Amino acid sequence: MHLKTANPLWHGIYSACFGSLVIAGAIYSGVALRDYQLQEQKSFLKGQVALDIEHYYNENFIARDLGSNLWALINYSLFREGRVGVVIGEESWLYTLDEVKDYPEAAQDLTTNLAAIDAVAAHVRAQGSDLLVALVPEKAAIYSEYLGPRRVAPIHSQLYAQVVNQLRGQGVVVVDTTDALINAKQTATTFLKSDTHWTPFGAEVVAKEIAQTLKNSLHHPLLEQQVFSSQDDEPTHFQGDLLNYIPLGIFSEWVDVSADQLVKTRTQVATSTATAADDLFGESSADIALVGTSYSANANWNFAGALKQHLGTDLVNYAQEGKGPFVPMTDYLNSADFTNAPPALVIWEIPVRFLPAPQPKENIASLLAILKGNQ
Amino acid sequence: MVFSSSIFLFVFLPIFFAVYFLTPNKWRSLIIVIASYIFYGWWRIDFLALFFGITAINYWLGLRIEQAETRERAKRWLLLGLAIDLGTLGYFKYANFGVDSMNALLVSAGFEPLELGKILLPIGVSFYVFESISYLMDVYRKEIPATRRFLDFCAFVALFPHLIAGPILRFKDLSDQFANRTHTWDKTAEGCSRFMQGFIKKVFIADTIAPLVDQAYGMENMTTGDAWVAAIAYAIQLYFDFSGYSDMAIGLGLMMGFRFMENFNRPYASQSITEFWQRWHISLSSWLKNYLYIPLGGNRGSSVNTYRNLFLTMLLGGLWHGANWTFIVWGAWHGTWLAIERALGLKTDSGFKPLRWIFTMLLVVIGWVVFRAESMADALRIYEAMFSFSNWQLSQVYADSITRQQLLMLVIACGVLVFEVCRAHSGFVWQWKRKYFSAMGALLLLPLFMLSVLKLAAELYSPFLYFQF
Repeated sequence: MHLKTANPLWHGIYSACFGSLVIAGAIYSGVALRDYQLQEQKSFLKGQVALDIEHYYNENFIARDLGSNLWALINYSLFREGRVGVVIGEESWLYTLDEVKDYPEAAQDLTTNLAAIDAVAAHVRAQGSDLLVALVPEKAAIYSEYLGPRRVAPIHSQLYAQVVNQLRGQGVVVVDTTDALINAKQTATTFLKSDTHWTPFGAEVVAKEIAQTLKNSLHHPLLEQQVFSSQDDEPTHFQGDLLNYIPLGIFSEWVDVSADQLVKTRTQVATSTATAADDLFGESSADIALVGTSYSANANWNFAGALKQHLGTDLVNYAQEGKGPFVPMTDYLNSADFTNAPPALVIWEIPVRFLPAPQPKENIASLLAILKGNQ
Repeated sequence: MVFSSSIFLFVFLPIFFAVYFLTPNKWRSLIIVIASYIFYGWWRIDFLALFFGITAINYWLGLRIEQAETRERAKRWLLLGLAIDLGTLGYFKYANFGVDSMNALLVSAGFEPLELGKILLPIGVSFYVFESISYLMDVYRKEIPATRRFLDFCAFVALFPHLIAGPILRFKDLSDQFANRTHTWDKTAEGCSRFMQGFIKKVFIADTIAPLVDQAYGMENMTTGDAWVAAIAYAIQLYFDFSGYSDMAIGLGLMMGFRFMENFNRPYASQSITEFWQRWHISLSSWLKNYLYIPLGGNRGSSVNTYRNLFLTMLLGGLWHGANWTFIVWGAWHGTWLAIERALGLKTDSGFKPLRWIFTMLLVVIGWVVFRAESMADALRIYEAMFSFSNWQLSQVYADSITRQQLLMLVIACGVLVFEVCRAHSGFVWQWKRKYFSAMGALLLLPLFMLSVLKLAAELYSPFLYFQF
């Protein structure tokens, strides 16, 4: 299909607008490419230099941000959608797509991932340490009331209970934090609206549950050696990670998008009853290791601090951001800290949403290789 | 370089037109050649030597054919040219495929496989080789004199608007325009408008629908619903992608004063596969008819020979698209239906028949499945899902991946195509409202073009489907 019009007015308008746009872009292009530096290792003959120039140009193109922002505005306003990866719920609650979508091989991947956790537990036990799995529920399960009409894949409906039962059946100690997080909602928000993660309050609720489990079930001798105190900062405006999927930029004032107030919490030692903590390198002497994901690694949520406070003992945080639950555990098991002096207790924080998802094969392979090598 | 890229639109194009219009008429072919070689070399400079070599040899062979003292000698020069052109195409496009297929047979028979390094396919080779062949054959048939103007011939083969993905032009259609073409305000404006329409088709529509197709074709388990949505979405994506490219090529040609042949004429309004090939990729079907079907004997022999020629033409046409069994099967599919329609004596000018139209579209969509599939195994997997009629609901995995924006664009694209069907069959509804629709389209053109430019800027990369051929 193509439009045909003999109207000279339209001809004039088209030509003038097209010409102006192209010329304006051309003038800017001179400026944009001015700072380009030739990469000597790239081949001119094989088109690598041209490709590099084009990448540089696209990255610095004047309309790039404007384009991203405008299309984010269109998608958000008209379709209530962001980029692939975010689910926009009601009252500006945002969720990660991982918590509602289906996975083609969910059952098989879940089995593989649970087997890996079981293998880690056996390995840690074999080194004389205890392992406690702190299973983080899905935000979409805790705050399902704001999901709106979005359909949640059946795999997620009983996922948490299924994982807890299966791991406990295999003899792994698991802390079920769902009820605590749901009950705590009456007091304060436990997950951030615009972020995948919990609030410092939610993190503290989970830390309390873990401490309770350790005190009640394990009667761990390491507990209550120190007294920690926490102090809240002033609330600050917080842009959650899920807003990266709605890059409104200059248009963010135009629409009512999700925003959070984050109260950061800092935890410090108040008094100590143990000699170990008087060590010059107090942290290195801690007998509890925390391994996990961004829920533990990101200081914004203060999960490690809350754990110290409610356990009443120090710990070393080996959690890493953006690598899922298995890579940090692989790195930790492979580290001199673990191989030379296994701690008394390893707390492994695992967001349940990772478990039905396919993990990179090399991640599981590296983990299993370490477990095999050390057994 | 692709038309739907910021660097083409805002760097290459303004510099080219500034230089082109500031250059006196007699030197403009030189400017076209230089610019087109830069355009081509942007992909890889080393392959320019092959490109220039093919151009120079065909120019020289054209002169030899014309100057041959006898038809027999002219034919020998022609055959030499065909051997060089087809040999080039065969080596770069089909050698790996041939060796792989041969190895499959050798290995199954217990022999050692042959070894051949990976041969890189030069971009656009299928198009410039076909254009060179058409030139030699037209000179041999004395339909045109061999050109003495080497620069014009270079400019014809290299002309960047049609260099990478067509339309497949014939020298005889453009030779006069190289010597004498007009640059009018109307032509330039029409070119701008046409370019913008093509850009919108490509970036705004085809690129938005593309994830719907990619997601489904990447899935191992599809429901019947998934498979049909993906098949229909691909038919729509391919049309808007390729016709968008052709619109841009024609628009750029108009801005430079050339008028290229149309490459699409509402193909999805066809009521038979024969009609489809009169409306889809017209420059290719014309080429296949003139330089393959007719030399094979066309419809001059017995009915059986005609059916054979139709089948072979489409089979080779399929193979032209790529070195894969999927394209051969796709060509055979179309060739078979062309032969059946010929045998049934199907007429295409007998008014709109909805059932016949639906049946034709069904055949086309079924054909596109194997055309899009990476392998025959993939194609069979999708056909199995399509025709198992087991579950018409979308699978949750597929449904989760579809956004409302994609869905709306699919509906809009379907609406545009239905509108085209209505327009193609005169006397049908909408006829009296044409001017209103034209005015609406004209009003929307600029805002949609701006939105498309911003979409491209946000998404950075927008390759054309037909570049792989």
